[in-house]
Amino acid sequence: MSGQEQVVVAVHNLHRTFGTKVALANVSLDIRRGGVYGLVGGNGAGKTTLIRHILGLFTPQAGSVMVFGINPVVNPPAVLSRIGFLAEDRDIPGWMRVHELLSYTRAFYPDWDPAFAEELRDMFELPPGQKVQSLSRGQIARAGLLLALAHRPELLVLDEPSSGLDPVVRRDILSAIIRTVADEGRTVLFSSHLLDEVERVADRVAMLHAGRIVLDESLEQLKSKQRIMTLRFAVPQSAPPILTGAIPLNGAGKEWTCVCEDAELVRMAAGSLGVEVIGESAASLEEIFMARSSKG
Amino acid sequence: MFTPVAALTWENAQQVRRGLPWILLTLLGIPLTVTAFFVLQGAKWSELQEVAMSPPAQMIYTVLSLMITLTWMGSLFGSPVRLFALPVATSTLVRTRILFGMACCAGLYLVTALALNLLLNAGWSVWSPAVHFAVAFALQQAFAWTLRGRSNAQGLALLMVGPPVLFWVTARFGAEWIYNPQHRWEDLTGPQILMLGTVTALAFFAAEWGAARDRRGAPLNLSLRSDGTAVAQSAEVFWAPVRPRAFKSAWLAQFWYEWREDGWFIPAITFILASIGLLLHFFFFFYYPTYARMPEVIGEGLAILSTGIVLQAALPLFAREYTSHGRRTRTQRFGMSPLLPMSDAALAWAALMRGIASAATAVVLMVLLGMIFVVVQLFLWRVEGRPDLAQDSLTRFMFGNQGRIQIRMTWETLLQVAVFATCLWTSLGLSYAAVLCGRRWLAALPMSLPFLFVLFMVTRTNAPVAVGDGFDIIMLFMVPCWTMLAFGDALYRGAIGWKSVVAAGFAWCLGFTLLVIVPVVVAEILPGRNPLMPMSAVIAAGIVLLLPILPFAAAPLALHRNRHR
Repeated sequence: MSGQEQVVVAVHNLHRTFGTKVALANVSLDIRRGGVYGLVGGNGAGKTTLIRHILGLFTPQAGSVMVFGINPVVNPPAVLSRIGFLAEDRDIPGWMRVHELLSYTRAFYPDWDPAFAEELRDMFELPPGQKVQSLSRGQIARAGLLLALAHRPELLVLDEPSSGLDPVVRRDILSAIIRTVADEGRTVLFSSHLLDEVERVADRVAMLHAGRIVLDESLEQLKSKQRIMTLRFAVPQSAPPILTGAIPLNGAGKEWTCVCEDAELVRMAAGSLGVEVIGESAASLEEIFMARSSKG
Repeated sequence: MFTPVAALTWENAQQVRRGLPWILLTLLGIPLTVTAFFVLQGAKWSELQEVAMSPPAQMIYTVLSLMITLTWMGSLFGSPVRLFALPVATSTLVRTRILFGMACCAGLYLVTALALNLLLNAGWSVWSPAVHFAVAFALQQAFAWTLRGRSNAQGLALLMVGPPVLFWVTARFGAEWIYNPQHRWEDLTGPQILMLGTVTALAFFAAEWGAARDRRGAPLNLSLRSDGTAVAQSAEVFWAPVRPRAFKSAWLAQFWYEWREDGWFIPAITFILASIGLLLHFFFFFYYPTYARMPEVIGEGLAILSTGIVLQAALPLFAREYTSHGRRTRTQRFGMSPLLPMSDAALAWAALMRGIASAATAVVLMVLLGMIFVVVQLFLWRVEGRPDLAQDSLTRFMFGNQGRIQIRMTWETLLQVAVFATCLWTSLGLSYAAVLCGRRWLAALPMSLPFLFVLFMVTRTNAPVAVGDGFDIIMLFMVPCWTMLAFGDALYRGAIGWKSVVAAGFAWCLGFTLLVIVPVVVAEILPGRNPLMPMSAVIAAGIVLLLPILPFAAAPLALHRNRHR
């Protein structure tokens, strides 16, 4: 498999505005085959806009988006037939019965696996004769997950999938499914607010802030590089202190914590200013996210 | 600081404000478009005034604007369930909305009717219809609050608006109003006011009762789709065919989805409306001897009823597109359809085919009902020993008011039929295109085409396409340009492929060939008729036939623009 074929999603210099608001600013991203790609960012960071471009629901105003080497706007069937998609607000017709929903969706996907679909239906406890409108919110979310998985997509796109799923499904089933998909050599793009969830399953993380990619690397590298340090200043600080290589996270008075990529550099800077390092540990994804968000 | 009532009224006003420009545009736009249409045809101002001042013109306008206003208003207010969490008494919630809506409906009619009276010197009644509008809104809201604002409930609500008006008119004018609609709307007598007041009070009571039930978690469910009874199941089989075990193709699956989602609605509403019409007919037949013994009344009445039913079939579609179909304009919410691995053209065509299937089913139902009516009517006259009435009425119904059977199967008639079918199909196709492109209000424009055509036929029955007047200038230049632009843009954007262009071209050739050949064949069957069409009419017909192929490009293009914003 060539390098070109390895790239499932190629986004280059993607730019998108809504009126005067810049939703995506020159975003470039390559998602390679296999593994779980976590997409994190605050509200309005541009995650869903990026996903819509990948699904072909937005036409790039500038830049390009290619999925499996195909432009999703020009040839939606070729792209969408290889994607499984789950979103919080996926609109499933309420009048359909569960078995009708499966038959209907199956018609569009040549690779639909009926045995697997039935297995998932059993696992998700979805009664075949029941109408979607009479299912609980969690059951509807599970039905959406079933539809996204049953054709064994090459790319599984999950946009805030946890909303509506109960903790058991979220923690055990969803994580297991994501890992299985990834282990089979397929790709998962996973966007979520729940950073601990992303941290648990993702192999690589991209962080969006105000329409820009502020971070894009493997989770392993990220966690090994990013440290959280607690600093004690000689005099109380009224504002977050500026220290070379450190991004202030929180604190007050004399004690402040910061996230840093190069712990040695921060230690040297602290020493030169007479600041004492009183603690150091591996940073969680949430702490990295908080620090990067506040930095902008 | 707002009081709860003031806050609720403000919230209601905000809801209405969003749609107000479009309601006004539609209410004023349709009659003004009709007027412009006649002006382009070279009509004199005195002729226009004559048409505008005729009672049928006001009747049609009043009913049409009533439907549009009620549908819009119902759609704007949305489901009342979200208000239940507010710490306000149910009666306050209900009364605030209904009173505000009644004032809006009456105000809208007053403004538009007064404006049209000023512009066209139409002399239409203003106050009495405005009061009826307000009462009709209260009735509609009674259904909306009782049945949780379901879109199907909107249809039922619209049906409920007619009876009070009908009984009032009949009580005042007897059956005469059907063939002599010169009644005066302006008069509001004591009994009428009493009746309207009673209806309004009942509407308030029903709305509050329904909302209170719903609020305590026991909503009234009159849906046919509720599970459990054999009747419900059999009804469901009628309008919503059971899913086959496996679909043969993706397109068939999407068509099934479209039909189950919306396709059954028009046939069902048409069937209900036609049944009500027939029931009314038999009601008048038995209780008003004058009505029953006048063949011209029944003959002409049936013709009017048929035309009305065609319009009525279009109106529920209009209502449907404006209410529940609104979600299609929000495809960016990741509804199912935009994410299906289907081309834009295939998705658009599934929606269009659903429209055709709906219209065809409605026509079949109408024919069946018509046959039942004819058999029953003939039987009734035979029982009365008046077979002459039967023949006379049917003759008048089928062939006009000349009093004797005339075969008018000339090219003019065929052309009229072709233009009428063209208008219906084009309006349907372009309406879907408007909805698919995410601009619901645009759907109002093509939906007025059948209405335009009916007026056109009324005034120019013998020359539907008379080359040389203003109308033709528009047709000759605009339609080809519009068609070429739509196909060019759709091809350029990849919404359609060359196959679609070839299929559209083939459809046009087929239609054109039929249009030229059929008069020749008819002339062979009926000697003495001129088989040849004037060249100008052939050209005009060819251009008119570009319109029905327009949706081939317009619908996929609209969907493409909405799907890939």
